[in-house]
Amino acid sequence: MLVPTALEAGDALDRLVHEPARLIILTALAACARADFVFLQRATGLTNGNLSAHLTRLNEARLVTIEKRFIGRKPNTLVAITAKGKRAVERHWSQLEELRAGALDLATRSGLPKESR
Amino acid sequence: MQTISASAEARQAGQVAARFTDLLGLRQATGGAGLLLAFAWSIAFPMTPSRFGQSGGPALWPYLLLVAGLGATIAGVRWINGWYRREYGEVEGTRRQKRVGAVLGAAGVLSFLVPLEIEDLVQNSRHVASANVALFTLSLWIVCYGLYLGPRFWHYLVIAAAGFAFGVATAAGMLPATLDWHIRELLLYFGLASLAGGLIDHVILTRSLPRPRNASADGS
Repeated sequence: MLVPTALEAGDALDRLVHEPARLIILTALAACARADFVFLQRATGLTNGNLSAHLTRLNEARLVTIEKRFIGRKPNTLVAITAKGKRAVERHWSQLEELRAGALDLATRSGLPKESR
Repeated sequence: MQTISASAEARQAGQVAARFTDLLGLRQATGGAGLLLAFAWSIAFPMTPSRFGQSGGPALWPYLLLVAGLGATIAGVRWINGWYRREYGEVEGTRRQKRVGAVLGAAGVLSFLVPLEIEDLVQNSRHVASANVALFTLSLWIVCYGLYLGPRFWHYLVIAAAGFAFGVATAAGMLPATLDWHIRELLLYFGLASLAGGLIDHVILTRSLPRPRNASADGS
């Protein structure tokens, strides 16, 4: 049955990665070697405190590494994705793609018009 | 279930991170402004053989002006680099991205220099290249650069098309066909192309990375 399969796939999503801000952080980091705090703040639109909390969470799960340094007298935080983090975000995107394909299939079978899918 | 817009935002963040250095367009625009200044300089002080034949040689101050303009351009690019670091942060590319960037950069320099060398050789044999060859090779390189950057950077294809059209205009004899004119045409085209391309890149960056808002999400 398609609906339970899609729901199971939804349940299988990693909640740690699935949270929108964290998905943005991990997807951005997967596309580069490393990025700093200012860039991630711009990419997510989060406040300092919120972004710090998300990064701590990802760091605790060993999905990212955090390096603190000084540029002149200003502190600068560099964040890089780990191999585990890269695998997690790649798996997450393929699961989302499967879900999307399942939902499209369901819409086709139930005869929904194209524009409402 | 996550909304489609959250997934789209994540994908966009990935695309911006992958092309971050290329999106810092104000650096390129400043370089373009410098090239346009060089074009204006070359019009104001044409380097004709007769100028070199004057007693005492050409005056020194036009060269000082050129060096000052070059210095101002370099200082401007450095300042903009710092501004981007403060406002948009830093993204370090992967090794593969750096390698591809180096290959593209080298190809760009060659597409600029090799045709000029060929035109120089043609002129030394007392002939004149009837077309500005570098306009064609540079446009071809811009097409490759635009394709490398991806679908959001279609403006580079328009810029390259303008370059081809400009090249055809020189081949049709609408502009004098001499090496110094060819260099001026190149300065004008590459200056305008850098300025326009850089400004559009910057607009893409600012739209993709808006200022942080007060988000309600917690870090749990």
